[in-house]
Amino acid sequence: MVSEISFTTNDFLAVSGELTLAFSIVFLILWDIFSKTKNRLTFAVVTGLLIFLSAAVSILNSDVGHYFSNTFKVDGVSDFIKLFSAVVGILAIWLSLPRFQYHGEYYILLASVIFGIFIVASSADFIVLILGLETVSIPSYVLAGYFRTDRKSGEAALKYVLYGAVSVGIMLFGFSLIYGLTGETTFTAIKQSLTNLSKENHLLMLVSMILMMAGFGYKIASVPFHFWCPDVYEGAPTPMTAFFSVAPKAAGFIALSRFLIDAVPENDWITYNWQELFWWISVATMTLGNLAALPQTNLKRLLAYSSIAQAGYIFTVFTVNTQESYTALSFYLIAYLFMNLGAFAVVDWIERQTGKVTLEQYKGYGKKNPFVAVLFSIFLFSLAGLPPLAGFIGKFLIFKALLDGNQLVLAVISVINTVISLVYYVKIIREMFLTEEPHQEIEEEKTELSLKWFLIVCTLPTIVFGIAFNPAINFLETAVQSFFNTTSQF
Amino acid sequence: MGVLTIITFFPLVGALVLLFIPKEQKNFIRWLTAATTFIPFLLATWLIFQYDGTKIGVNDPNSFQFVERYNWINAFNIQYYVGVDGISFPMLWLTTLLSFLCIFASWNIEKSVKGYMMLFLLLETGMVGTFIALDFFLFYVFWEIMLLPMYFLIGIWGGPRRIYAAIKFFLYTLAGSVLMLLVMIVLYQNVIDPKTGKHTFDMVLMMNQANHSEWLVKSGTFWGYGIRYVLWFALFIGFAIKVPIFPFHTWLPDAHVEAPTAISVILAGILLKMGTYGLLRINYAIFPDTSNYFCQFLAILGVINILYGAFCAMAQKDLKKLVAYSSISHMGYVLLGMSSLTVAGINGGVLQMFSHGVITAMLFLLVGVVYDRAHHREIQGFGGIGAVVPIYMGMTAIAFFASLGLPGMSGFIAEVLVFLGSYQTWPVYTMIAVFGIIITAAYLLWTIQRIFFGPLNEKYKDLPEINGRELFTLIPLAAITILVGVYPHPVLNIISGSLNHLIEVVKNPLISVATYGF
Repeated sequence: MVSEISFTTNDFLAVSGELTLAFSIVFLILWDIFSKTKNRLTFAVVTGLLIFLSAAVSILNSDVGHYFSNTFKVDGVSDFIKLFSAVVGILAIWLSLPRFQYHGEYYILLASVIFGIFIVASSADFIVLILGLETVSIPSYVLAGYFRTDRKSGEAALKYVLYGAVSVGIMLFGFSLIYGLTGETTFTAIKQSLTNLSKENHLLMLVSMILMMAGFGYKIASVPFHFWCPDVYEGAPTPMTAFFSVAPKAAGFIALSRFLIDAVPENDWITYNWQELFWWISVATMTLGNLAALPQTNLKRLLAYSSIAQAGYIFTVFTVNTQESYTALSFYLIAYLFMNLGAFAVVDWIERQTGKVTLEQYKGYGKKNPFVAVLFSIFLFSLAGLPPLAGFIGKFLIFKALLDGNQLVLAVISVINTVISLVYYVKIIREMFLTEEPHQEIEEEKTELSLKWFLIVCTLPTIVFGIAFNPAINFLETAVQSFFNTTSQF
Repeated sequence: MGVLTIITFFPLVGALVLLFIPKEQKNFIRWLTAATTFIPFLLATWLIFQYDGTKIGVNDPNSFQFVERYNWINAFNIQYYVGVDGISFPMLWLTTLLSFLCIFASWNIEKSVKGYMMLFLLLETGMVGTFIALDFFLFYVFWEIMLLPMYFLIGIWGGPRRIYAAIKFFLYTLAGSVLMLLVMIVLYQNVIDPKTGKHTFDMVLMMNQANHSEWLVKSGTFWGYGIRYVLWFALFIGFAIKVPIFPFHTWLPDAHVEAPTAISVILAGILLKMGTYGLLRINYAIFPDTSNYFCQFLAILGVINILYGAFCAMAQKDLKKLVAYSSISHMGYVLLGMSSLTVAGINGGVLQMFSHGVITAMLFLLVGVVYDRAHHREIQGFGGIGAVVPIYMGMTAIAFFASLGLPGMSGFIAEVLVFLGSYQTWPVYTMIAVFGIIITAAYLLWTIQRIFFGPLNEKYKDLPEINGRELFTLIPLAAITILVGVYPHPVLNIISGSLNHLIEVVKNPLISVATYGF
């Protein structure tokens, strides 16, 4: 119940990172308009630096707590997601350089998406959350359709917009039901008010929860809100696909986590139904993702379905909803970031070389360019969850969280899915190393220096987090602790 | 850094060094790899003389030997904890020996030698690590590390159906090992280190059932079944796929037939033993009560393996497939011996693991020799070549006779011990299993007859004799077979202390099956 609105300097310090990024975007727009030179290399580098600066500023000013009348929350996980999205953004810019050297607005849009993720990461209020999610979505629509003349790109953008509009609409409807029940929009207030929810309103609560899942599910690309995903991933420029497959998903996961922890009361009936709902969604998401990925021959579609399946594994943690499970989620996101971006970087490189993204292009690639092929295999094996790579540790942590939360059946389903997923990851590796075209003269391909370093930058964490993951775990555990512990200022 | 760590990671370092050697220098790469695998072999051989047979190991943390223990991941109490006892030490030594010999068996591989050797060295690290790991997490990591190089070694350098065989091997093994992953996590949650009060992955602590939680001992159920049965079974499937125990064996003939010679040797000589090693180290020691309960089940599977493998081998036209099925048959003896829960039986079983590792390695090497010359492996396609290649025939005869259990060879000692032991516990099964020996003798002798005797197939009248390099790989193995066959004492000395203790543990488990049930 906010009677009098008054903001202090603390409030503005808490959003200093967001403010920095907002001003940076304005500055970049002006620079783009008034600059005479066509080449945007410096521009892109400066964009990356500004994104990084914003993340750094927000981490430096991170006094855990609620701000702006409890609508904005800063804690370890929000800092983590800001840093995370900044890293994804910078890597995506790096990946985009060869294609979009002359497009200033491209980088501005990218920075805007990251700005939206910053907001989502800290939002503790429905209205702020919706604003954040829309700030993520709208530039994403433009980015997905960035190749205006390409029909597929156009289709991708349209699908993205339509699905986005509908699912956010449904989500808002769900919010409105909760608002009707409680008369509140901030998460903490909702939680208080819901704690004493009367029995006859339980069903309404359940309906609103299901409706809200539409919005979260759309961002995460979980079944049954995943239909946009393969088409958008296929049509969007590959660097953007790489970006979409990681950053907005992370934002969706964090928004859902915060909603669950801050706004849902410890009510047995509600918890039970949530868990039931999440159980089915996660099983459907990973199984459908994996089965649909099996027959794909278009690498971008294959990785799209693979990312749906990966989201399914991550989604399982919500059935447990413990500190441990959120640590697992955060770690999985880190692992997923590097292995997925690495994989997409290779797909992008081959697309730029051959103009195609079908499995055909990978035949005998192990001979043609062993360096890229070997690193690509490392990313794929990590995605499949084989030790000693980061993807394995991510799965290990998730399974462990599941078993700690007595979700034995779900854990068994997840490991069966892991085995299925291996089939299509290995399919790519098979094309690269095992099948050869005896009649075709294979000449060695020269790797771009920038790509080489990009792949190395992605490989090192993929291996290091698979062997020495202790520091990462300790860091995330502290972050998640503050995620759970902060109480609102009433 | 201790000697076990050096043995494990020396090949990996070698693989990294190979990375910087230009791939055109094939011979240099070969020699360097041979040298890299020779050092671990030397060290392992040196360890034989340091090994103290009176220290039993198994579930006693103080009597493991050459132990190294460092904290690895503090957040979950994961340790780098390695050490050997009588169960693992012979396998460790065999691994280093076969790895070294297999480099020479791979000498005539021409296709991307560098990649082959690097993968091979990575494989050796995985194999050695699996045998010495005493921390479950470490064990699992090594166990999985073996998969990747194996997939590529079969898939790139294999025969015509290599792609199918490689993925089949990969999927089967992975399906088994993910079950193991879940069991590992459940064990972690339910085993507490009494000293620190924290959960632990330490296998030796897991083997003390007093550290198991109430849930794990008594109250736990999964879909109405007692949790110990479920966990035991999940582990069993993981290891059964590796052994392979009928009906999980179908990957084996494919993988063996398609793999290049050296890789078949490693597959049959080492990887199959990991299945039975895992059963002994993990199923038997961590769940002695459940293993005791299921030992009849193991005995029946052992008999099925012996007979089924032998009959299948008899029907084969392809020489390599015959050897592959004979492996299934021979691993059945290990199971039968293990399941008898007698001193003789289990000693025989583990001796059989060692002896079969040596003998089957010889068999696959010999198949490789003839395949390199004739470019086919059809048993019927030869005939009468005994007169053309007498030395080759001699070596083959040694290997075949060892395999069928001729007295004076290691296979005989192992099988006699197995039957002596298993007859005490399972007289009927043993009597059925003995027929396996006859069938084995039948198919091996029949094969010798078809290949070496009879009228000479004119196509092979100029078949080149076995060369020095090939003999170099075979003679040490033949010598070991005969040595162990005549004087098995050194091997039994190493294994018996640990195994006798393990048998006591399984026979008199701390907790009884009666406290929980289906």
